[in-house]
Amino acid sequence: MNIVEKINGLSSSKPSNWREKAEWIINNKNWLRYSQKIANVVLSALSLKKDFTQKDLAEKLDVTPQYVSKLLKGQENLTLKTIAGLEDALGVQFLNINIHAAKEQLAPSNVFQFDFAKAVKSDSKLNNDNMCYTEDNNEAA
Amino acid sequence: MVFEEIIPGKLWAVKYDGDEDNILNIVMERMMDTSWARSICEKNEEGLRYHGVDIETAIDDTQEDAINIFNKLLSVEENSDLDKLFWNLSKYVNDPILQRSKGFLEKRKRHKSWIRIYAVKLESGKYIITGGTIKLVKDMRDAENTQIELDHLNQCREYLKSNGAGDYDSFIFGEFTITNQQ
Repeated sequence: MNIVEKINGLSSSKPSNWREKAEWIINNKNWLRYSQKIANVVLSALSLKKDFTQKDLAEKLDVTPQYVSKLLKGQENLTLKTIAGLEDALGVQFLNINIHAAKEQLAPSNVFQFDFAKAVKSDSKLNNDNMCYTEDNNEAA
Repeated sequence: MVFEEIIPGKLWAVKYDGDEDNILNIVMERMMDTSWARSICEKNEEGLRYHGVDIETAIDDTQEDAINIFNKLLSVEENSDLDKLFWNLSKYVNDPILQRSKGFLEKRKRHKSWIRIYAVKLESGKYIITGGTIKLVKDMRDAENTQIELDHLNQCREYLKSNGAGDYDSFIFGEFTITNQQ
């Protein structure tokens, strides 16, 4: 009996779901990383503010202490309301949306342009195929 | 103790008595848990000072590295060479079976990765994962969380021997990490 057969003989017949778990993490990593960073800051704040406990935070946020405990694990998909509540409770800013920087990122040279004229021209037989994007800005003129 | 197959014929993870899940799933959950990462870092402040990072940076880097490692693990296929994925970190001083050396996630600018996946290497390309943690000390015996991992490695080796999985004195038994290098 080789080593693989021996190990398989000591193994559970139940298949491991590790792949699903790992894929879930990878597929959700963008918001998960935000949640972890927020939890990191909240833990830091709770450590610095000795007279401010998780229970105090729960009261300020109007949530249960159990929810605060979950939030501190960095795996909660937080609502904007909760994020704003945390900002208010801790006196920190998590979201700082720069409208002008966003507008620059949306400028014609940076994004695919929706070919509105072409879509309107095809209005009589409008379907999903006609709702197209093009990189050619002049074509719409 | 029982094993759960991770990659058929080449990678398994231990499921310890009393645990609801195999250790790989538990390690993934731990590494994603910011509270857990902070508690480990708080207990290893000296290690953080050695690396020259504050606790918040350490937690953030740990969680970023962990996701990279899970991604790397997902890329493993049945024909992948695990000896290129698992990087032996050990050249242990007091036990010839144990080996310890340095390993890390490549491309780290500030510091090397301190995430460790611990495994017993059965033979070339065949491993059993016994645990994983954040290692901020030089010797595994110097911190509680790494001592637990060392105990798990010993426990796995003894279990293999006592269950007739051979007198495999050649089991390489120590620290492995998953690197970005191929």
